[in-house]
Amino acid sequence: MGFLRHRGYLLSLVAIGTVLAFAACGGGDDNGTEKSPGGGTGAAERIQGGTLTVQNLEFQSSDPHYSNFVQDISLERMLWRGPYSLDKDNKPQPAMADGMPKISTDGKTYTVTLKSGLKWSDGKPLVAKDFALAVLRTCNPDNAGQYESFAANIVGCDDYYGAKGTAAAPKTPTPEELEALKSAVGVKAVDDKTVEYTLNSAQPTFIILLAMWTYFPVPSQLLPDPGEKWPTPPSAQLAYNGPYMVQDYKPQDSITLVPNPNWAAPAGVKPTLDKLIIRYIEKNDVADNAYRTGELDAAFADVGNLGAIKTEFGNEYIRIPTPETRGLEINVGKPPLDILEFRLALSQAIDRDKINEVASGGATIPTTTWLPEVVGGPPPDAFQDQVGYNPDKAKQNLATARTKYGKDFPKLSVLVRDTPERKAQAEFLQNSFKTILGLDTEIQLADSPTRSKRLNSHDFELAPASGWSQDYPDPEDWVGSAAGIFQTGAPNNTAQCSDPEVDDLSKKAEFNTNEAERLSQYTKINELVSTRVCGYAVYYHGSNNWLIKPYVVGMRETSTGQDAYPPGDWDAEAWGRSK
Amino acid sequence: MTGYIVRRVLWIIPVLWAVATITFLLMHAVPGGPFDQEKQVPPAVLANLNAKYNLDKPLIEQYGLFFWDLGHGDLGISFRSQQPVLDLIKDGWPTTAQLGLTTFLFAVVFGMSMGVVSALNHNKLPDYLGVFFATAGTAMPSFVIGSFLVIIFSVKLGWFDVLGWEFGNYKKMVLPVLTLGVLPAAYIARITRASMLEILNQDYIRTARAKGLAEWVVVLRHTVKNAMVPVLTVIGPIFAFLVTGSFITETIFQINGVGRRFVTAVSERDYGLIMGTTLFYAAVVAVANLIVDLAYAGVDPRIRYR
Repeated sequence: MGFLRHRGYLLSLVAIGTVLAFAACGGGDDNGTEKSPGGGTGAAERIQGGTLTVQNLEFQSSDPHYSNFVQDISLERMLWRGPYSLDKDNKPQPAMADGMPKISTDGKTYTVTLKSGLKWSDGKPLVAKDFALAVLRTCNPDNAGQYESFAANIVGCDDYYGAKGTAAAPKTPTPEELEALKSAVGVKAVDDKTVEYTLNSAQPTFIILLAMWTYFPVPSQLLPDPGEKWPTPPSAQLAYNGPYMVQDYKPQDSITLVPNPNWAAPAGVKPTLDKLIIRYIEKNDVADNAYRTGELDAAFADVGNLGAIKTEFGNEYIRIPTPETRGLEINVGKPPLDILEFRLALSQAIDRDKINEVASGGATIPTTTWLPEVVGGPPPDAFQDQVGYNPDKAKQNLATARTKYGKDFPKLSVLVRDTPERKAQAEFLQNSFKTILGLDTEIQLADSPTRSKRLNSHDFELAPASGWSQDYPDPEDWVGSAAGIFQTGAPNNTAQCSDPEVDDLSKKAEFNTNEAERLSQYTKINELVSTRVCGYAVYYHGSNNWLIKPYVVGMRETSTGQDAYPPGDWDAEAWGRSK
Repeated sequence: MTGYIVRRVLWIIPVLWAVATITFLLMHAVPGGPFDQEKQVPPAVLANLNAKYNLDKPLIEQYGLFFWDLGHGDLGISFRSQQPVLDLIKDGWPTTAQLGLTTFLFAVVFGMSMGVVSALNHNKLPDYLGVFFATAGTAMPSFVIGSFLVIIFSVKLGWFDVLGWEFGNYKKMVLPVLTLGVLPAAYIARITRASMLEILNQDYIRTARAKGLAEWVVVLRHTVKNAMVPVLTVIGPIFAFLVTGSFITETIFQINGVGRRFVTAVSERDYGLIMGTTLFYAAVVAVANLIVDLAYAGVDPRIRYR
């Protein structure tokens, strides 16, 4: 059997060779991506040219007049720009417009003059009609733009958008009726260089909205009618007026952008990169490995492993506070959660520093205020005395609540998204409520759509990690009717908060042209909803955690939180490489 | 044989209909829809979105519309990306198929080699190694294997890339193939070894050796070939499993395949994509099973189809 034994070994070698054959097949390539020299802030001298490869999530839609997701908007900002853009302080500055708008004395008409000589990437002139079409597309019911609310104050937009009614009350307008509704929308191209927007009410924040994606122009040479489908996916055949244009797109893999030669750089900032590659990677631990091997120049840090990440990468790690607030959502419509003292007890039983450490490795910023400081809110500990961690006060409030409730408290359900971080938050809260307050809770896990469905139909009691992330930088988008989170019966009022004082102040603030008074009214609403735990016992402001190679410039420097996804992506023309 | 094939192909139609119907009903029974998200869309927006994707119509009408479109070669559109589902499958499946076929080849060649070597060296070191591989390979989940491989061979040694798939580029092929292929290879090795041991103890093998046939003839012509029938039984489902995509492997290496897209579609309630990819999978599995059944006849002359 000696022969057979040798044959056996020989066959073993053949089998092992199979593996090696895989390792040997193909040419392979080594793109020579730079390795990190370690540390650094990216302040070194910028070079002309080069490629940056940056992680993001894949866009769902690239239609700025339909989009809803942050990664969609991130890409769209790179490809198109509206009349105005937000600067580093979140103040609107002219982008395609030649100066600030002329506002009528009643505050209802905005006249925007465009710069001279604007062109699309395909060389065709970029004219006022293209900006007017953007509004018509956003208000078009067939396009179903998800941020129609940004244009809702434009005359006729809501009527046109709602032309077909709802499932409960459908309408069947004739083509003529639809055309009439479209014509009645308050936007027009006065001439090639002048766009006029007419509002129902004077809206102090309208100029901020003119910097949002829904106002990005439509290449009318390709899409002459507002009902036309946006070319999807974006390709080299589409026209762009932003700093970059699409060279190549590989679904679920990457999109490659190159500088737009016709980009009318508002502050003279033109892309210095030859190529910008956005790699679509959902899992941050995978992205971090690619960052380690040099396949990515910037990647989300895996917050599940944040301690090790900070140690390993030092200055390459950056935490950027984002305009986002989260906390324990409390369904005020379900007794005993309607009792103020019960909600205060829950809030005061939450150790915000600890939950931040336990659930997200210190990635977030503990807080007691709904409105973040970056949009005019008070510092995070502003309401520490009223709603912050205080076990003794929590017990006192619970005792008062028990007297009001008149019987033993029921076991409460805690509805949470089935992810490790969210589960950790729920378990932390469950333990806190039991040990401090003696309350029993039951954790219910759900995937994202199921949880959202239950929240939106008020079918929950407690829901950790609920909250809000900003659409545009103004308190109106946080506590005003535009956000609709705290007003009685408002669309986003999933917690069923109802406070007449909040409702009254909201009405007064909405179209208040006295800026100081308006901001003061929103400050007061924030104080009311935060200290009365009106649906949310808030416990953290969000942050984006990134790894950025030391030779990358323009990402750390331009990020404002509004655009930290990736850092500074609203000014991606400033991204580059240093020596 | 031709009649048999025609009958089997025709049977695929009711199978696909049943799969589509069950998927359609389950999909709508699961709580949460494609536009249920944390930041709730206003009622007017929801109404227009539902109208845009025909979700405002009664369920039976939606069901009818799906089959009407299907009959016209249209799998609908993805609610998320707004691209035709057929285009998304066309985009992703070639990559999935490349990865699947390469892995299949690896699993079959490596698994069978390992099984044959183990059997020929029964109760000796190569056999122990083979049994260890077969046991460990089936016990370890692919996300564990993939993560280890990436950390050792990409991050530490820098031999292979972490991201992507490119046919012909070994830096982007080896780790995904190993990650996806270890489990099927281990399974094939186990079945091959067991089958080989059974055949090696048959009288006709003893007779072949007694007749003085060369050992390689005994092994390859009389043992391996006859040991293949049970192996072929498991190879069919493995083939179907591999060419329909692996969410885990495609996610670990960020490969643009249909496996990743399908799982994402389910978690996002992208009804159009769920229906399209499920039907596509069902069709691939049905065809793969048919091919395997036909292959039986090639390997085992006792099997005849009428």
